[in-house]
Amino acid sequence: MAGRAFVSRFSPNRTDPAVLEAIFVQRERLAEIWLERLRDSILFGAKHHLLAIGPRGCGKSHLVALLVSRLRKDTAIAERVRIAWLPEDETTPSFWKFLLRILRALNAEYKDEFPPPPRDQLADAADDSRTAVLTEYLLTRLGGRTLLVVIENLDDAMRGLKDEGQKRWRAFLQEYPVTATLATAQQLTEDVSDRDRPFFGFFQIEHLKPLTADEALSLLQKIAAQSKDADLVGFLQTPTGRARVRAIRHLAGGSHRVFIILSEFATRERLDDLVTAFEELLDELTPYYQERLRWLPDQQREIVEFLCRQAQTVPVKEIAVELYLSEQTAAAQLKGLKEKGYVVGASVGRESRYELAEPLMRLCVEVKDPQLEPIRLIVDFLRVWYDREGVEVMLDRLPADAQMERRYFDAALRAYRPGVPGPVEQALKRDLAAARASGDPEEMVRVLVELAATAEDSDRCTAVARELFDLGRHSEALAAYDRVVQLNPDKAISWYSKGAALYNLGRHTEALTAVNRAIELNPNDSFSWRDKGVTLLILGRYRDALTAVERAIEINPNYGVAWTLMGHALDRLARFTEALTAYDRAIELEPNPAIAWIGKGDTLNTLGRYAEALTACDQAIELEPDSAEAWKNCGRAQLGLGQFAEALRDLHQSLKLNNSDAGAIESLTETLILAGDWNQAESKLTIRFQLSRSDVNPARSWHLPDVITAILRASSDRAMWAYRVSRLVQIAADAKRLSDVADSLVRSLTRPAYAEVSLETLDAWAGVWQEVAKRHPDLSLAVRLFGVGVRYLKAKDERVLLDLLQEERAILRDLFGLAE
Amino acid sequence: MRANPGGVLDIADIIGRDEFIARMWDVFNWNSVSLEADRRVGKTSVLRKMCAAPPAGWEAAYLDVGKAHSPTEFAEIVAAEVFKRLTGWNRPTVRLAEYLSPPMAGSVEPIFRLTGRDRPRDGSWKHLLTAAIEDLVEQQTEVGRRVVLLFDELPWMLQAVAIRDNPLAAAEILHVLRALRQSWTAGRGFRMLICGSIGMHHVLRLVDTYAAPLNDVTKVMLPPLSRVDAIELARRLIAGEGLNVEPGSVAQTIADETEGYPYFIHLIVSRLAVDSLLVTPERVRELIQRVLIDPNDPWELKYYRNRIAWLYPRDGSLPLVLLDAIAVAERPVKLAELQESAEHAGEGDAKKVREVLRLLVLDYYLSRDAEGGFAFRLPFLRQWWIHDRELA
Repeated sequence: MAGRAFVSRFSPNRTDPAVLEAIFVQRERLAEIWLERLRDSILFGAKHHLLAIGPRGCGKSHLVALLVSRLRKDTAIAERVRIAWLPEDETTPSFWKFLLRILRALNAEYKDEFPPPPRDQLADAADDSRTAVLTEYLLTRLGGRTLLVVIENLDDAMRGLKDEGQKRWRAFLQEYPVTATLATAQQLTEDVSDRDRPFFGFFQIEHLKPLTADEALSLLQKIAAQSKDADLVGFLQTPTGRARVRAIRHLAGGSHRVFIILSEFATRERLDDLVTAFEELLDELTPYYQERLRWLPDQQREIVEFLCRQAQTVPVKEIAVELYLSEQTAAAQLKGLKEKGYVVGASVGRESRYELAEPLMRLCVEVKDPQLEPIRLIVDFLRVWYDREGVEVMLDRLPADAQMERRYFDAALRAYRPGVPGPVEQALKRDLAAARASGDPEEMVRVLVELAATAEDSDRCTAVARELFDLGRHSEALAAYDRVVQLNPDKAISWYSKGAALYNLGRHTEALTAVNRAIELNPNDSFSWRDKGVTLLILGRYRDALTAVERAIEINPNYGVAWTLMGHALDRLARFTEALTAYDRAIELEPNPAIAWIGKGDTLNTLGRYAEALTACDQAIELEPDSAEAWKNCGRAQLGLGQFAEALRDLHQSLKLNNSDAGAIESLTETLILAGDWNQAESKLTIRFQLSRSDVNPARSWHLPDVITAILRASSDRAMWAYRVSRLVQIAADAKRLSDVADSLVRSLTRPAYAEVSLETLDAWAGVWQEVAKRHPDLSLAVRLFGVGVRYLKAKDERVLLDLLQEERAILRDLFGLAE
Repeated sequence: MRANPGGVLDIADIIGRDEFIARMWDVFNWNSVSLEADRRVGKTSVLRKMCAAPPAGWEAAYLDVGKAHSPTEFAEIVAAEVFKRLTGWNRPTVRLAEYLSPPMAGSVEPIFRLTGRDRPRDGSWKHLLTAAIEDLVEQQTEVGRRVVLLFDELPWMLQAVAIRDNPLAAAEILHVLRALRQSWTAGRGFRMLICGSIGMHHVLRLVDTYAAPLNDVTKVMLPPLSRVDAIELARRLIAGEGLNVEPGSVAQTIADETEGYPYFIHLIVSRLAVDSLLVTPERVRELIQRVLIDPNDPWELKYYRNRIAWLYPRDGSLPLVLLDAIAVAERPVKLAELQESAEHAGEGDAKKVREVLRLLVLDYYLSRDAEGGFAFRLPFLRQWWIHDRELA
């Protein structure tokens, strides 16, 4: 760690203002508004009195120091104000002594401008006369400028002033409106909140909220960045880093001071500084919390002490039983404690559960002598900040004389119990429950990701990964499965699940590797073979896919899904009859064979057995009325049967269910052309070419070649062909998708339409395309291939292919299924 | 103009009070005034505005006497204020001269200051007070002006004197002030306004005087801002804070929800500024709802519940019964219905019901409409009451 920025734990006014600005979090808006209020007080007649309330270490002084520094930096403002920043912990037994404190602070800051007041006029005088003298003196020295009194621990000052002093101060502020106040207090006391007190409603009060986990993270990141601690910055960006900060937030509350201390030791290897820092913190906080406890009535105090000993929220009933109180009494006392800010409660169903509002209050019941027993808070910190292995490594590295550190690491190690969730996991689970209750999906995912990153148990991590997967967050699920296989690399199911996540992310090759690993570990798992088959189908490796699903069926002959996949593989391999058999077997075995029926319908369409295809599709629709694929196949069957109206109805239904299926749009276009509605067809073509490439289905569902042949079939007028072909080409060119047309033109050679027309018609049709290609050179190659293909169709003589180069020839050979 | 709940406002920022102030000056033509209002309605701001620009023919001084804890101290505060005005008066200050001290180091002006040694003996505070006021009245009469002293927080002072000294001493202050108001020498050129954070009726009960020392002053109630002025205040604060406001009725919503209490208007706008979101009427209501259930009780509404026992020690649960019945009703509740509710709760004394309702109005819980129906004075107080008392 290079050149750590100095951030004072207890006195932000000793920290460089530039650093204070750089590490300021959470309260930017408040600081901005309060600065404006103070500027107004300094420059105009209005005088604002601002009071920030929050427990020790919550960043009050940071806010104050920042505001004062900003005021001092503004020279126009600085000239118009005199700032009396009163030292903390001085007593204020009366108003005239309060005025003396102000004058002393002004003297410390502005030296001769505010010399000490004349002692002779104060000695032997009555208090009210002293007040008059000091008031006069102060006003004279101010010379019309605004006085800004900065006072921390306002509650202490108010207590000291008592009713009389408070009334004098209030009268001073009202009679001489030259003073603004910037104050802090640890809690809201009756002196400012009770309507019968002089300062009721006088201050603009801001209850400073503790840091949230995200804000704590932001604070640590800023300190790390300020200290140029790249390691810490990097670590805090990882889910593990975030999870640990979250856990510390639960352990210690959102205290700024705790996180500032943490920032100091986060990447250090030695603990001595940390222990010292925490001991100082405890020294400061313990009496504060003990005093706060002492203010409570007995029953409330008992409840708080009980909650100090609990590690989680506790239902009212349990509190009542443990403390021998009636449930009604316990509830009433808890309500009082909630109002006083000692506890926070939440309802789970009809049950109210409570916990400490400030977790650091647990210090009250902590061991008082850290020499005898390690401080639990530090032990818990170690458990949060290091995993078990980390603690063991630290222990091994300790020199023989590091007794104190050994005590702490031993204690941390002893606290790990197999099967019992550690503090990080506990914290994350609480946040997960809160995110679920508030219905915040993004927070849920964040917590799940952190749970996975910090999981020590592969089963628990698997459960988290599965939840992420079920939420459709495949990328996060994949990271979780990575952790699962890291925790237990020999578990087939983990690799299988990882493969599924990769598959859903479209990373098919990696998915195949993962599923292969699953098969290596458990070769007899039909699910893994099935997934391998699916992945290979996507990768276009139909033969390998067939082998994989055959293996799945070998393991489990009654595995319906595998039979469906076998149908798909055989269909892609053009083994249509066998595909139909496989689909039929799947239909027998599957409880819901909709996909098998869809596949069967598709194959039957390919075979031109449209009536049977229609029956298959009807079966599919009966099982899954919302299947766009089934409706599309139905539409294509109707088209095959020449039933254009029914085809249009079914294809519209398909597109209603999935409006981005390019195949369905193409089929609809084809139907519209054949039904004589060219204008509608053109508008569908425009939509089709606007679909992004990833939405365009390749291969089997590619029907643009049918659109091309539909133009031929729909008319015998060459001029009409020329117009429609040029429109088709222009629409594709406008969408920069001319290559789709080129590819489809060549593919159209295999369509039965060409077998049904005369040779002259074929020549004329090819001629139309040659004309169009003159205006669109990108089509030249395709049109040339198409021309040769037409000649082949006419002559059925392979020698015509010799007019093409070898690679070009290969394309047509492949298309016509000709052997080399 | 920025939101400044509880702070000291610039005089120009005290809006919606001009008509009320004009009426006060009108009242001063013939009498002194006891100004009554709930806390945070803006009494002190009104006094400061009156003092900043008195009409021709008047000399006004604002004195926060809450700081005084003895009759002597009170007299000295008045005398010091008077002395400031006597500086430069071409006639020797006959009555106050004996109280002057030499100038402070670095100053040429004598100052009015009493050291421990010089302090008048017990009882002479009356002389000091009378001398100071008579000097000032005489001086101002010469230039055709009458004097008005605006005594802020007088009840606090009387309470402190009654507790620290004795109730008789507090009563004596009231009697001296009454004598000054009615004096042949000073009375015609002298008026006073008294007001404070606690009701004068509580102090009079403490002082326990039968002489009715305030029956010669006119009681005036400072109302919250009119709806028009409340909307204008909200509008100016919204503009001053540069809030991102949805066009429409945000200012009206703030005015209506606060019933025109300027403090709460400032408070809400100040909160909205910190929240930094688009402000809509719904958001204003949401903010108020949030405040009402905030365990910190930022508006200290618990006070309304807690002081019931202290205000009405002899009335048992009757105040709560009445307030509960009014809180859950959707419209103002008539006396007959409230008597029925009280009877149902075993509090059948009709006279007592009427008396408690009268006090609840005086203590700013309730208001009564022209048709005699009782309702909570503040809409949000009613909401809080329902929440706090867990009423359905």
